[in-house]
Amino acid sequence: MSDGAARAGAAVTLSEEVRAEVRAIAERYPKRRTALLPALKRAQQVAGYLTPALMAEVAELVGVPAGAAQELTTFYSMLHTEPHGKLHVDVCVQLPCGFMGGERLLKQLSTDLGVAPGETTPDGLVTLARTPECFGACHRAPMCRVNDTYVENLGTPEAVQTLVTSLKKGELPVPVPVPAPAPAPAARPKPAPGFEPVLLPHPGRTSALSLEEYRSEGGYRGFTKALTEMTPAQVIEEVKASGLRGRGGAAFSTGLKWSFVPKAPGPKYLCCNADESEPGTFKDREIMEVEPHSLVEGVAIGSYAIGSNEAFIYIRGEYVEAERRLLHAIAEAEAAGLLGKKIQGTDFDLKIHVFMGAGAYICGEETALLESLEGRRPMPRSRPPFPAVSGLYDRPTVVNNVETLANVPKILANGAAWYSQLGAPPRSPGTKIFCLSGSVNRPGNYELPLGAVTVRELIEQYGGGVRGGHKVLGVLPAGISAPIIPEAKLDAKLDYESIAAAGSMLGSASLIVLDETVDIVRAATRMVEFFRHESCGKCTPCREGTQWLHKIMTRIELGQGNPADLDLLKSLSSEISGKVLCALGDFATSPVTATIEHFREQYLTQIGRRAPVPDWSDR
Amino acid sequence: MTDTVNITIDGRVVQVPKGTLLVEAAKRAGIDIPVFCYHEKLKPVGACRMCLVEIEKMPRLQTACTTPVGEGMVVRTQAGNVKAAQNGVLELLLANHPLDCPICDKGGECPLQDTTFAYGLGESRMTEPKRALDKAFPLSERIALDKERCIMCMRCTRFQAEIVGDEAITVMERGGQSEIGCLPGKTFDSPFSGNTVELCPVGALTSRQYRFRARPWDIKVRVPAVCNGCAVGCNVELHARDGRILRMWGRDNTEVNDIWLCDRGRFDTLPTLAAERPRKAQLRRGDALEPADYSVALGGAAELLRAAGKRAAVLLGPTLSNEALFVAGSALRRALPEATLAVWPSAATAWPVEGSVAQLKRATRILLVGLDPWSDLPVVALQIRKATQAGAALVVIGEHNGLARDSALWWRAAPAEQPARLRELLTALDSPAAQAGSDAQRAASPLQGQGPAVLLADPNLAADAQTRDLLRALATKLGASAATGMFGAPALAANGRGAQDLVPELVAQRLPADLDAAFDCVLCIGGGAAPALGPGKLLYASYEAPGAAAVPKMVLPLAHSYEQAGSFTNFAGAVQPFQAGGFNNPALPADFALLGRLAAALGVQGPLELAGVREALAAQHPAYAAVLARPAKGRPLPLLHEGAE
Repeated sequence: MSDGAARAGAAVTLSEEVRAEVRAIAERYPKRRTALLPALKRAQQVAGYLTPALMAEVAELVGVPAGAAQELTTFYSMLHTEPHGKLHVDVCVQLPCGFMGGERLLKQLSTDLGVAPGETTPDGLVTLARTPECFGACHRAPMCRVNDTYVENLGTPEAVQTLVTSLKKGELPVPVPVPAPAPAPAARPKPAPGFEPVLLPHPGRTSALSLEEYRSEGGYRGFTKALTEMTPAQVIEEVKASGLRGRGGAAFSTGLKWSFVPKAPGPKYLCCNADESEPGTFKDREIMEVEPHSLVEGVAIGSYAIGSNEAFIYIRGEYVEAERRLLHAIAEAEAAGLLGKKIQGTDFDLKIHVFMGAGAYICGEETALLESLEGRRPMPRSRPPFPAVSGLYDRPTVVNNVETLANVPKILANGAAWYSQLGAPPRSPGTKIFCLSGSVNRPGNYELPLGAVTVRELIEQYGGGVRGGHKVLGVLPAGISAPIIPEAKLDAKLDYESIAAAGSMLGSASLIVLDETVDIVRAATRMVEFFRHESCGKCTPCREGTQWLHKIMTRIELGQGNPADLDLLKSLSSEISGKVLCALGDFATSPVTATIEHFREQYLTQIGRRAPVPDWSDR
Repeated sequence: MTDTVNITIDGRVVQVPKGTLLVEAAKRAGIDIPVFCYHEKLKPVGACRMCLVEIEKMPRLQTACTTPVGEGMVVRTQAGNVKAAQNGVLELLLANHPLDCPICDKGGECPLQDTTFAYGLGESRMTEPKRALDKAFPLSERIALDKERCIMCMRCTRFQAEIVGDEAITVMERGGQSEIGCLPGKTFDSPFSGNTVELCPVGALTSRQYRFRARPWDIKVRVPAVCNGCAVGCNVELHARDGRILRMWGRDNTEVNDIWLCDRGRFDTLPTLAAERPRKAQLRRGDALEPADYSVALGGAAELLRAAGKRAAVLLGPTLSNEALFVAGSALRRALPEATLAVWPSAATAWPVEGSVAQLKRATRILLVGLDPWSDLPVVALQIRKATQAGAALVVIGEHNGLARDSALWWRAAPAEQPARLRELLTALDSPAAQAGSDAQRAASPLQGQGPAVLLADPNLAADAQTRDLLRALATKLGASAATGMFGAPALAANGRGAQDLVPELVAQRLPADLDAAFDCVLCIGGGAAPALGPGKLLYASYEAPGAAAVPKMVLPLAHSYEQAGSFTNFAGAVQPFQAGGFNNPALPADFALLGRLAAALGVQGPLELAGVREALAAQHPAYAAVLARPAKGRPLPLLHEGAE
């Protein structure tokens, strides 16, 4: 972060050195335009914020019209066009942070720093911001981001005071250490006899495994086997036979997806979707921070299978630590000859790019991700054509989630048969990392076989039960994108089919637990705010609908609702759902329709109160 | 056997070429599917969701604009769920749309109004506060943006990105905050910005020139015409209210301009703009020009020209119609045997263009030498872009290059250096290895290969015989042929090609450098700036005012090209007739009529009306005969005033 420039708002142009850097970035990728986003981020890093002149300068260096920079700068949350404080503090108030101390943290910081959310302190040191986004730190709520640093576990006054002290001095705060998980992972109940985790063999660990350590546990055996003993087609068959389904939420058969890539010659691309932005989700983060090589190896095997020599790992811009560790892992792998040219004496070349986003949930949608990679405004594409046929740069492309790819090395090393017996075959084989957060005593990632436990068991046996001894109001099983599961249905098993039968979707398996003290109207309004904030704006029903839904919900939350609003909300939801270009629009209606369905009385009570719902600043 | 597909839409079976989009297939079946973001000249995006239809076996409704037909597809556009979707999309579009119809230019010709009327419910349930944004925001001197009216169809930004390539306006912000605009501090400076006004399906982007001038039902006259701004000859439609032309729209012609126009043509050529345009003949008496009877003035002009004998000149301007040029070269030539008759400014091209714009769009290799279409033939630059977007290689040798973004290589060279570059390029194309690593090789490399080719050059360059030979050799080397591609040096004046075809001797006629010294009486006719002449020498016949610097002895006002019938020939040789629109009121003579009357006053009687002139022209130029016999393309129009030629 530049010192002074952001505050001074000085007209900054790029130094020769930075111009050379930008030019170099523009040479890195198959098409120059891809460099636009990283180049703008670099310019912002130096200048503090992006002025029109800077935007034009960067665009010219990359070789695109100035308008192209404008399209990106105003779209991404992490790109700023106005000056701000030396320290930019983003406090998360989305679910679950919002009711797990986030609003309290925001109020405390505002009071202690003497600045309202959205404003900068008079000395220009701190800008305080309230954000409805999620940073993937739900298990360590409440938290905030200070520039690129995550400051988590701010649930105690001491932790907050330490933060405030740093901020007042204009110093970047030191991250709060992550407390050891209690009880220790070894003491947790085993979901099945002889269960060994596949993805997170070191639960509770926070440091990254080195290449040496990863190899000592059998790492890269799968890749070597694929590369030297199998054809790409055989690799695809193996993954198909394992029954592995996509872990990003859509749960599509991974092997089948890989088989859609045409065999004709020409460049093909494997893209790893590490844009994890669904509230309540922090599994990919842990994989990348602790087991980065499992992802690198998964990407390598996937690339080999589809015939890609250039892969991209698209990481959400906020996961700076994950980026650092992945870059390190890739460097280790390249040094060991596991990546690069003619890997392990074969004809296979592979270069892996790590590409950072800049704050946009929609980039988790695969075609929006591709648009972002191409240096364009990340709005989803219409299909057909599908990415397997025409994806990145109009070439055959496969997009896979981090967790999906992280499964692949062991599938190759141990065989499809081994994997397909785990979990709940034939429809839901394998293990799944369940992200548990919200009103539970032990939030965190729990890797379990699919179908091994019910929602209730996960909360009680692994999550330590509901905080404060409260009862569960409901559980959001797939972040905020699937219908809430009311308490009565918590005995559904945690696999795709059972959760669907319970009227919801397992999706990414990001379980947010709401206890009975959480006001459901406020929670639903907060969820709708998320979708309104993240809607890309391309298609009419989502762009206009999320706005309208949020306006009505806010009015109800403020005590100005009326009973007819509920039917209107449902009617608008049906005008949106099923009519939109991508799934965001569909998901945006779930918080509304599901909560009205299950908690109609609470809505009517709030409407009758004619008073605002109390905020969560004392939670 | 053509590749066709059979689909059933609302019970009707229709056969269409493979790859046809459902929305187009429906049109062929006579079924209207409402759209906003879809436009046949732009890539479909499926953004507005207005065109959702039911396709059997597909669980969700699909956008007809992005779905190509599939064999055996069964489509329903009238199903209940489709109607519900249409109602919903419209209700959502109108949720934030301001109730501006009474003050909005688009009212009466507004797709949003029409579609709401046809497909929407009569009411909205939106009672929340609507968003409030800039209204009448000046994006440029020509274009105003009403941000509240915008429905984010993105036709405008897609046009700037796909067709123009300059992304002069883009989408900003995100979600419900989205709006279109330029970089702060910049204005919408794109030479083709006016097209976005036509593309906009609501009153968000409007023409400031036309703002509040008329309602669509006031425009009683819509005439198909040809722009007189440059040699591209874009096909246009002129809209007039109460005898005044208020605006120009594009008219689809895939052989010339598709539907696009450049801003100069669209906005700046309209006669209504011409300040202080003379409407009566004027004679100089002392210091002032006084109105005079037209016939008297005409007779006086004839007399002055005759009396000047060898020291008389007639300068024929760039926007004279083919008919006028023909009369100049025949009747007037005979009537003034000693005078100098010349096309001025020079429209000479020693290498007239062959080939067609339609072929240009399909070229795989394009070479421009000393020519910058972006400035001189603007819409042709868009057509070149169409080819480069499809993969064609564009190489430019010259000083200016508005298509730099789309060029495989831009080999900068001043005019004096260009012949040498041509030589080097020819060598490099012949023997690639010999010139490895040189600029010439870098220019030659993208031009290698097969497929239709195009070579266009600056006519000044082609004037020199040796350079012309080089250019011809290059064209041959590239395989640029009249049958598949395009080659030549285009005359850039609006009807320069017409002059070249019909009166080549008058095009070739050299003029002395000092006109004032050489001539005592000069008739300057047909647009363009008046030459610098001493007082008492200039007879100025135009639809423009002579300008402050000129001191004419006589002013004979003409009908503007848009007010008369006639024809132009564009740079590629396409003869394009245009009709009189009936807004020549009070009637001023057409250019060919004035010249004919002048010749008659000098004793040479020839045809004075359109039919007669065309008959005589066609007799001498068979290539023009067929075209001139056909009526102009375009909508049939109600004429307000009959026979105003």
